[in-house]
Amino acid sequence: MMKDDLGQASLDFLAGVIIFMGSLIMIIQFIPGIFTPFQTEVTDLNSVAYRTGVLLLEDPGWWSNTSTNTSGTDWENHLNNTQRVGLASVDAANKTTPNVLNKKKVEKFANISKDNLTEFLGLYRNISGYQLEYGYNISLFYLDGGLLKINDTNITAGYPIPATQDIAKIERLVMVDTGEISVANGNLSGQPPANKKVQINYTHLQDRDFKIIITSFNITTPPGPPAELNWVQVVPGSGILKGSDGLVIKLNGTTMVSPTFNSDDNTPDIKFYNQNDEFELILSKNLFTIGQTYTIEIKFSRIDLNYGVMIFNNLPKLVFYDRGKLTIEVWQ
Amino acid sequence: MNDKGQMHTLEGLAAAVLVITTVMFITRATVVVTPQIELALDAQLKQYSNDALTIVDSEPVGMNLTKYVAAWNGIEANISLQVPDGMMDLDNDLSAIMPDNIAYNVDFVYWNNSLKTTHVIVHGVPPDNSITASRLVTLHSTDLKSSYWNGTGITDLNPRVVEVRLISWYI
Repeated sequence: MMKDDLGQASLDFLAGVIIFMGSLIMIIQFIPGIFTPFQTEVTDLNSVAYRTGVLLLEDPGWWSNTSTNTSGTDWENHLNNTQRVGLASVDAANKTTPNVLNKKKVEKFANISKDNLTEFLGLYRNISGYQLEYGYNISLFYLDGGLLKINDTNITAGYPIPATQDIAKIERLVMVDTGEISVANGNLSGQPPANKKVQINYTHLQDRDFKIIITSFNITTPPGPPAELNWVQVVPGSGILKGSDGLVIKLNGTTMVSPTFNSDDNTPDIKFYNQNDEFELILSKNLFTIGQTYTIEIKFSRIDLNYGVMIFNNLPKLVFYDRGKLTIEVWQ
Repeated sequence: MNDKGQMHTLEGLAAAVLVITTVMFITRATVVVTPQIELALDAQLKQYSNDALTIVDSEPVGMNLTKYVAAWNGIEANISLQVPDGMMDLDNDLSAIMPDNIAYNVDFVYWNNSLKTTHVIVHGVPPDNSITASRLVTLHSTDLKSSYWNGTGITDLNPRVVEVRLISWYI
């Protein structure tokens, strides 16, 4: 063999070494990537979202003042001593009604600071003494999508939702007392006994159908001819309401088919016979404009109405429960 | 015979690229799967169904679940008669509450000389991954009932407990 003692690196050698070094560097660079699947990732986002949902919907919350040794479930009145936040309402007998939310609790909930809320709902993990918080967003929507508002406050708490992370989401269906209470003011218009009208003053504040439920009638002398509903009208409006105007009448839960009313007393009307008959009038929201006050007149016959006295016994307070959905989203 | 032991450059390059690409492909293909997605979907569906029954039952004025059950007139539903007359209102209520991508059936289970499981609202045949939620209502003698229930002998001492089953699935 010819000895070559020139000392130059040949082109072949260079090319080979370059390829070799390049491959070595590339391989070394992605060796850490082999171990990526074994890094700890949070896998419990779904359970955190689920338990937060349960905590909010089925628990009324708790406050406790150790110095005065008092405590209770109405944390919305004791924000400084709140220990746990919950939205379920508690009725007069101290019984919790799950899925039915209390208006004041929901309102105060939207105003709690983010740090306090993380603490109250337990949305963090302790790892070697260091507290890692979850990101979260809890919002209350109407069933058809818009954000629910109470007293002009959007009911939403937490952080804005990130666009590039794994998020666990749970939706719960709820009923919220949005506080629109209307008590029917059975107000006689001072007409002679043949024309007995009941007037209900109503200010249309929410975008919902207006429901009037009347029961416990003071029906005189059964079994005589039945008492009757003659017509319903809304003032200001377009006169006597017909079924096509968005008037639905139910008697004891059954919808009466296509009620048509005229202004005289002789046309087919709704008749009721028993004191316990439950009578429901649903006026479509299209009859009203938000913010305006209307008078709803309902004309009856053969009902014993006393002048100037509310004749419907045990008139229920009509609390409008809006149906909504509580969306809880949790991320790392 | 060629016993020089050198590799040609181009062949060497091709071989190196081939080996590296194979190794990269293999290592990047490993993925750790945490099979929790299906559990989460089931849990969400169960929550929807339970919540829907709770909401219908908690209605303070007007029709609640007890009154809907009491208004049932005994007609069984099937694929051709999906919603019998007395159940239209309950069906409208439930479809307003439940999200649009969920279909449901409703069954009543009660005792009338024998245990009866009756389909009351049918919107389809439930597939394998459907979820059932139940709620119990009690019919007393003082409740306003349909003629069907009145004929089953509900007295003051014998109230009737009816289990309302909501079977739901994603569509």
